[in-house]
Amino acid sequence: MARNAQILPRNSVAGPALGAVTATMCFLACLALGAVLTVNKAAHNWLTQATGAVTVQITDTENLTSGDQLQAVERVLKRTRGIASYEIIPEEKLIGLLEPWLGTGNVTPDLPIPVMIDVILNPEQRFNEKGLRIELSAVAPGAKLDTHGRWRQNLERGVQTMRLLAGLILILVTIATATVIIFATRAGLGTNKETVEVLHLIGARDKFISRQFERQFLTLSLLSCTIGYGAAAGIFHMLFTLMTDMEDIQFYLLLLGVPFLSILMTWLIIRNFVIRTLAKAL
Amino acid sequence: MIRFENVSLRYDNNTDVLQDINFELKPGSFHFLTGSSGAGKTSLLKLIFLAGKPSGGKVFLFNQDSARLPRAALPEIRRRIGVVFQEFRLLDHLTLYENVSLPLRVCNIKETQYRSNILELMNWVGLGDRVNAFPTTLSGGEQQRAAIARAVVGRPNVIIADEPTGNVDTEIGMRLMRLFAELNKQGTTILIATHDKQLWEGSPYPRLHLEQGSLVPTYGEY
Repeated sequence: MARNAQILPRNSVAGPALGAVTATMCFLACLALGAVLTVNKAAHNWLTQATGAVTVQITDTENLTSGDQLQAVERVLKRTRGIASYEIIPEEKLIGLLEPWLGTGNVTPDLPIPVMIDVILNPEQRFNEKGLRIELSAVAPGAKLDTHGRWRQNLERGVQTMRLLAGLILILVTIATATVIIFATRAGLGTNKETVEVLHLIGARDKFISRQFERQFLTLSLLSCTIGYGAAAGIFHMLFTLMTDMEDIQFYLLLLGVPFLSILMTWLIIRNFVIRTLAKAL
Repeated sequence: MIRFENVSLRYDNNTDVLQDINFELKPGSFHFLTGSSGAGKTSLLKLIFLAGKPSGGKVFLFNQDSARLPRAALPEIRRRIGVVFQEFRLLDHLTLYENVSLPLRVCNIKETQYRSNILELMNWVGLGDRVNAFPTTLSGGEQQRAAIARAVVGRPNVIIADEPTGNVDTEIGMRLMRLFAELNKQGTTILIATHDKQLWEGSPYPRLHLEQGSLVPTYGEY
């Protein structure tokens, strides 16, 4: 027996082509956001490690060898607040680090290799970098404190650039999607002009007519965004099998914001556009 | 109920369609609107069901000046006027049941509340066995009856029909007229636009006659 169907003909408002575009846009937006989240997290991990450690390098001076200065440096490190531990890197390990650059067997005994000390900082205590630098120069003129500041700055700059790029991509994708939706809505209103006119003449309110458009667009949008999100999530899942400690549920939940906002945006654009267009009609 | 005061209508190309129209339809009345093709019948009806605005004069619908009605008030007025369009204007992608129930759906009435009424109404107009048919599969007469069913389903105060018998044979035409007379007996105001002399000749109802956009007297007919 007869039952009420959709008032607007199926696919007369939002066809498969629009679905494909929406899915692609959602996929690209997910990729952009996912890339930023991943780079952010990786950078955070690297920075945490980098800021949790400093290096003291002792080189020979005119009057003192690096070995002569080592004891004094150790005394300073032991009494400095904010240092959890330190470790003198064995000479063999240093030679091992140099060999890839200089070639095996080329690190000769006359090559001046500095003493390197890895210093692990205590995150719960304040570390006075400037104070340590002054104390070290007082007791060991060949000692230099390296806080990896330049490397950290470069990394932070790189991450910032990535964020800006992703933001730009998100803005472009949003503008493109909004434009496509507006054109599709306009086309849908044109295709259904007769139906809209009949609905008006039998007493339909603009909001009722708008709801018919919203329903078709939202159904399609939901499906397209699910596909776009699913594809992006699948790619990230594969990527994370290569990157340990990067995958977590929070990442996918944040990524879910893209389809959610896409659907919300679609709804607001359609509602606004249809209501404004209908207001000029009969 | 419906009153025209010095109404004129001019199209953008400066063609005068209606000039100085004055008449009143009282509640429960039955009128014919006659005139040859192009006399302005459809244009006049459009002013009643708010598909157009007069260039001059005033159209009062249910004691409200149609020109002063805010947009938000239009649906309520339109729901009180059932229209049978000349070209039916049924929606081809909907079944007859869906077409007929449309005026109730747009009022957000639940289907469970009107379902049996629609089926009863469709039986009444002789379309009980065509509930699931699509308009394109129907004859002109069947489409006409479906359009009438859609016009009356919301129990409007006024029914306007534009050439309701234009696409049907004489027998069905007379049957449709009996249908309108029945609705009128129930208190509905009826205005039927027609150029078919057979339809109004010998009928007890008064007529408004249009000639070149003006109403002309029909003295001594009744």
